[in-house]
Amino acid sequence: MTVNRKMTTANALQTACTKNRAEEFGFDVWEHFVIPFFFEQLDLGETQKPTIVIGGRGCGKTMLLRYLSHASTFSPKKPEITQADLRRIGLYWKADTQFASALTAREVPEDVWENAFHHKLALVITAELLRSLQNLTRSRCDAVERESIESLRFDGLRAYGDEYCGELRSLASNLRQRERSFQLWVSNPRSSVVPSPVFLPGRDFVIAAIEEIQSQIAELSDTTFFVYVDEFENLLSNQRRIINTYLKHSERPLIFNIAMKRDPLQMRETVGDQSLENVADYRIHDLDDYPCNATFTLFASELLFFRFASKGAKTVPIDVDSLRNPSALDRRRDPAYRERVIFEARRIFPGLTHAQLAHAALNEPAVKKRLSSEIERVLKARGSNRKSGDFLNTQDKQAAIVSSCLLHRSSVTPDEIAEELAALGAGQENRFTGRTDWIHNNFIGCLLRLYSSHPKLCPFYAGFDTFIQLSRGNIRHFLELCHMSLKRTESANLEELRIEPDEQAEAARQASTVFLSEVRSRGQHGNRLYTFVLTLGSLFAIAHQRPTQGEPELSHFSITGGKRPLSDEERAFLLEAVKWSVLIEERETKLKDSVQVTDSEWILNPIYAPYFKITYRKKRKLELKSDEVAVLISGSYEERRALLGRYAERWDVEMQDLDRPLFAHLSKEPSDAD
Amino acid sequence: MRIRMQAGNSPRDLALPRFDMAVTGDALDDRGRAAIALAGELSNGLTSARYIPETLQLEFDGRQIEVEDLAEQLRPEDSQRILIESTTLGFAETFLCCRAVKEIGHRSISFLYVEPGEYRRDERERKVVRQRDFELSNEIIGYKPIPGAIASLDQVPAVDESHPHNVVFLLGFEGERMDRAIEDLPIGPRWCYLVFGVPAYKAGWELDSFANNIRVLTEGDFQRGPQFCAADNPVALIELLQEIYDARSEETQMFVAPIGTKPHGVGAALFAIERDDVGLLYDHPRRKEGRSVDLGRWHFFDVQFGDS
Repeated sequence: MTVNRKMTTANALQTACTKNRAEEFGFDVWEHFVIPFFFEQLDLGETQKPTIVIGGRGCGKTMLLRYLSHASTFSPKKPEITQADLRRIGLYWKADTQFASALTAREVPEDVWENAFHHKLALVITAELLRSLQNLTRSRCDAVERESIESLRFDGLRAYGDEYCGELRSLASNLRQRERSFQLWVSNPRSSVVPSPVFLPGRDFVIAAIEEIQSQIAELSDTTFFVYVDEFENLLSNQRRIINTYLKHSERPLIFNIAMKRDPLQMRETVGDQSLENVADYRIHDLDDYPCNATFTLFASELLFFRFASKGAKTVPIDVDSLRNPSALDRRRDPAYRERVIFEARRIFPGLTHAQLAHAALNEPAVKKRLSSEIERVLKARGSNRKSGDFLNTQDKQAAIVSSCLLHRSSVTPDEIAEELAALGAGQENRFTGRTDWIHNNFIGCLLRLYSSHPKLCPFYAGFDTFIQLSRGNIRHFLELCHMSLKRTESANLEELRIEPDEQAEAARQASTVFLSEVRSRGQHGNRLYTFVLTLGSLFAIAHQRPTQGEPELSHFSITGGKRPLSDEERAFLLEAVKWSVLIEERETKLKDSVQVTDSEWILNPIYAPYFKITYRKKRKLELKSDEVAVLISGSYEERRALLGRYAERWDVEMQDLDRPLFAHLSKEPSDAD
Repeated sequence: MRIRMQAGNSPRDLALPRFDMAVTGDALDDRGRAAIALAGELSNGLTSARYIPETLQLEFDGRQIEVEDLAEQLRPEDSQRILIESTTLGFAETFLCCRAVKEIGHRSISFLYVEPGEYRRDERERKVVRQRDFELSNEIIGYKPIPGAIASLDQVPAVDESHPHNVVFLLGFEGERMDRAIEDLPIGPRWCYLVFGVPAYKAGWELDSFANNIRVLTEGDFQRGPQFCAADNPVALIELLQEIYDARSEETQMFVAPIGTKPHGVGAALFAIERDDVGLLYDHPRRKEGRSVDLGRWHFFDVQFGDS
């Protein structure tokens, strides 16, 4: 019995972070939702304004919308339903875009398809409306009698057809019938045997149904229903226009809201030429803007322990009820609480200091051997009589590692480096730690270079704080990193749980590989995005192999000059990459070059860093010309290969120094190309 | 519906009748070229078909037509024998042709399919990046409807129903295709069936399908166990789909996502044309000229509609 219980708990810890998509929780997410720190900024208490919610995949957008909707508001697991819950009822609709895209063409006039879409909206939203009432009857709400809902009649809808009047169950059933008939017609619009439906007038029908409800159930007479349309950007343009109109003209008791990925072109279409600030008609919430590192670090650690608690772990540093309670946000901001929770998360996922990373590297025989060989090679090339031991046999291991790159620099001699090492060892002023700060500026770049051809991933990718940086506010990325780390643990006791840095680093690589492969399924240009990431990542990986580490840790680029400006299609591609969070765009604060094509910096999503064995930190920037970016975006294989080859040559990177699995294709003969 | 299946290492191993018309796609590789060549030998004429998901039209014999008009194109004779060359045709074209043939009351339809030859697995085992990774140019249209099998995943629930739809994924090597469906569409993973083509065309090939999809299976909230159906057997696939269809509640809408093998696609098409309450989910990949060499086994499926 004891053995079985422990095994169960071990499995519980292993699987605590398995689910990282909202779709996996169903529509009732109440017990799974941790109130984010920006929840107050959503201003849900009083505002009746329509809302546009923007966020990339993994930012928590869908989870938030499902939380705001009736399935969660009236969750049977929720201990209390308040008056506020009755005043705001959310109706979530994730548009079935494959069906919506059928409402076009086939020699049916567009205005008929538009009426069909209005009809579809009426059916779906009214059905959700009825479902919200059914969920209300199943909840712990005392304010509304179950009988009052079950005895509801919708006789006022007779004007739209006799089939719509009657009791709630009858209406629900008829809506279902109408939906099936509608589908059949959409599939066969020109068929003589499939009758055309009589289209319902969209929003007006829903409001009529609401009015029936509010006239019969006093407790809901003051209710506003908020429709959340998810996947808005994937609807057809005329459908988006219809919903836009609903949104802009929303008023009680029915307010429309939309959720979409970040897409500047779509936003211009939606909000027009107005700036992306809150305007009089609606509010915009960009979820990617809300989590800063400080709050995300705490939120992520709370989420981690919340997951453990949901699997039965008892000794967690959080209070589950508080995480579900919007009123408890202030308590969660207490510094002592924050420190305690984050401390525990770091205990489970310990990272290594730079000094520890250096020691770990030199305790790896293959890494140490590479370092020693590297130093010997460059000393010989420079005609120095010194030996590798002069640089390795120092107490400061970081300095030893940095020395390997410094020795490649013509600006400093081996003797000078050795003297600086000696000064460092003697506690005197030196360039390793003084104003020149060789260690601070070069250590990580040198370390990553050493590990690049090592089968084991550098433990630089380990640590809770590192996971925070790798995920960069993306909840899904964070949970996947945790999941990959936890899935092989045999620990059954949360208090003793600790994932070794080597295991975390390997988990980071696996998660990185998974997310990289998922790029292919991102939109219509998934394959092109994948090729783009592969090439850009390879370019940064080559940069990380630069012997001198003249500009270490290149991880982002800007576009400077070039033979021609980027075409509209190329610009659109970069925005597509941003939309799918493959790239992160940041505006430069200073322009260095007056002929810069764009004033943006483009950061490769740090989640891909472990795969390419590059830094996840934003340190140095690579200035690419527009034609080079064009090759990254749409170049042929030979053009990409040539681009990578040119930079390898420019940076003195030898082919044998490149990571074999990533760069095998560069060394193949044309006849071997597959 | 009666389906007679034949398989052999070459066309000589098959008893093949003559046809009045063969409908083909584009020959992108050796097996496609070989299949079209045989179709040409067996028929009085070749006709090309290509579905255009953006406009829901069909390019048929070089002309753009409405899908609803395909049936007229496939007349004029009721006894016309039609061969669907499914090696080169995509699923959408296969389904639309089946539907049109049934609509005009033809009693039979036949399918030709050639398996791929040897399959390179070394790069998958070593996770080495190859040139082909930089040349992925398959255009992915995404999940777009096919007229005749359009259904909505939207939840328009009847009273007290537990789930409104079942989606049956017929899986192949490309894990991202199901991933895309789960991400982009309102599909509840717990109500999905996952069908693996086992036995695969060749022993060991199923491992790639498992490897590319098993992660979703184990880490998604799929409450139905994996289903297995021989990769080259449309009859077995139809039987499996029928079992799933019969097991659902009346209120539950069934969808089939044929993103696996072509024989499974043939089975899905034949299953769907017999019912007007089954939706199809398909993402319309456009294949570039490939590097596939060698031919595998040849398959011929002969379908007789109506009572046996």
